[in-house]
Amino acid sequence: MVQSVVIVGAGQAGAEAAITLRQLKFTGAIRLIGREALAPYERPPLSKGFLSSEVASERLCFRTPEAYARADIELMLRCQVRALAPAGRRVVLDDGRAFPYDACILATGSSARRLNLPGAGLENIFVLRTIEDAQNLRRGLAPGCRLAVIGGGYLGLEAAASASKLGASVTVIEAQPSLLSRSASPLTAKALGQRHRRAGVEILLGETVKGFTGGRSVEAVMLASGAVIPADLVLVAAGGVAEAALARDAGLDCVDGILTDLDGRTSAEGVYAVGDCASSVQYAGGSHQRLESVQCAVQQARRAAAAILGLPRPALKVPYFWSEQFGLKLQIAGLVEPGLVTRDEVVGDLDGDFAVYRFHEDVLVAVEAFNRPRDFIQAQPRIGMRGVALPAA
Amino acid sequence: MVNVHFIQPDNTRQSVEGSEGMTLMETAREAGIPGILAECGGGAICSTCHVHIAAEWIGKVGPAPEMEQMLLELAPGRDENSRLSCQIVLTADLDGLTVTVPEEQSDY
Repeated sequence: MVQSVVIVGAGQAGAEAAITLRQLKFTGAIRLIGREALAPYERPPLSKGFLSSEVASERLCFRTPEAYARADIELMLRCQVRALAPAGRRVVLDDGRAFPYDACILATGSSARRLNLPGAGLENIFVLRTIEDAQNLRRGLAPGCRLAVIGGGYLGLEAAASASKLGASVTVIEAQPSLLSRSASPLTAKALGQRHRRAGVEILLGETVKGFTGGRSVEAVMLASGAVIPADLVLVAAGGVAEAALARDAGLDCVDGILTDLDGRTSAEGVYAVGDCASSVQYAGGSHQRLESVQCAVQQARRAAAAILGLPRPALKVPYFWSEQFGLKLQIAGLVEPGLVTRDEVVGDLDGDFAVYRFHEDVLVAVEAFNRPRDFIQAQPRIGMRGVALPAA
Repeated sequence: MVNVHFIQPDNTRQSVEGSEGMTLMETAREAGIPGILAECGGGAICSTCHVHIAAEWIGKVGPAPEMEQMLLELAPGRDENSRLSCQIVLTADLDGLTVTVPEEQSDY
């Protein structure tokens, strides 16, 4: 019988796992160990509202530290786990303290991919993963400053939009020939790029960064094409890397992240992994995938909690994702696996509000709704169905 | 302080002190009320913070606006008194508000 659970990582997935264990009536010990100073908080606003306005950090917290105490969850902040010992079922902290567990949940998240390029250590080159990162970037974002964003994925584009709103002059540099190449249809990516350009954001596609120049602080981004992009600030938003070192050192199977089954079980008995750090089977018979999304983190955390307690698996839901840029809401239901061939159909106006219905062999696999929440909502029960009719307009 | 009461499908009742300006969902989350999942964090994107407002309170709380109605259509077990708790901001007027957590959401 499970009597103690140690959760490594106090982000959204870790917090959700802890709370779910209690809600499922687990009465044993729960330790939630995180290295940041703040109680678990929402990360999506870091590139959106939190970056573009003065929001108090505490507003991002899901609940107060007292709420964890009331739920008898030992929230251990500013604590770094040094080692996981699956054979002895314990975790060891940097300060030497060791905690035994019957079940351990790794929710270590992901870190920003760093660029190993000349000048990458100059001042005013930022990443955006934590509240502290967001505060550092925000301090530099004065009207008229020049920000270069490296990476045209969701994080980079959201930060570009927020910075532009603050009056910064923004250039987005993307190595691929299109924005959002891994995560949206070409139609949506193109329309989003247009919105950015209309708002004055410069977008450079198919451009690789060669390095940075400057004195103490960055002054320009050097591109492989020879172009030089002057910049007072640089945000590196070139994707995330699973925080899997702890798992790897403990001998757990890892590829892109910590490999798990649908319920979060890793290759080590009693050890689970959830959220950004996990490369998981997302549905019965599916392949391993690492998805950085709130919904994925939350649902994996709940499935792992249920599995640890020997309870039935919670129902699987249609994956969804959202982004906000320039006040526009992009909402995506369903998931297009990499390499899947799709037929994409547009409803609405690509220059205004629209939705892209993505089919694979007549099966609706995803809907991308651009300021069309109705399409997003109504699509959800239809994902995976054949012969779905498009709405009239 | 605004007192709100959450009733679980098994009729257990939890009374919680919320504060004005907080949403009903945030109040439930802080109190650890089971069955209010609030997956999207209050962005009105999912429908996992669905509650049934007690009949005597629906007048004060008001009906769901159109977009919320559509989201509620995805919520299992919804009825005419269903609302998303992330869209209800607590005011002094709502002191004593009583809601029921849907059964379908509790055993997720």
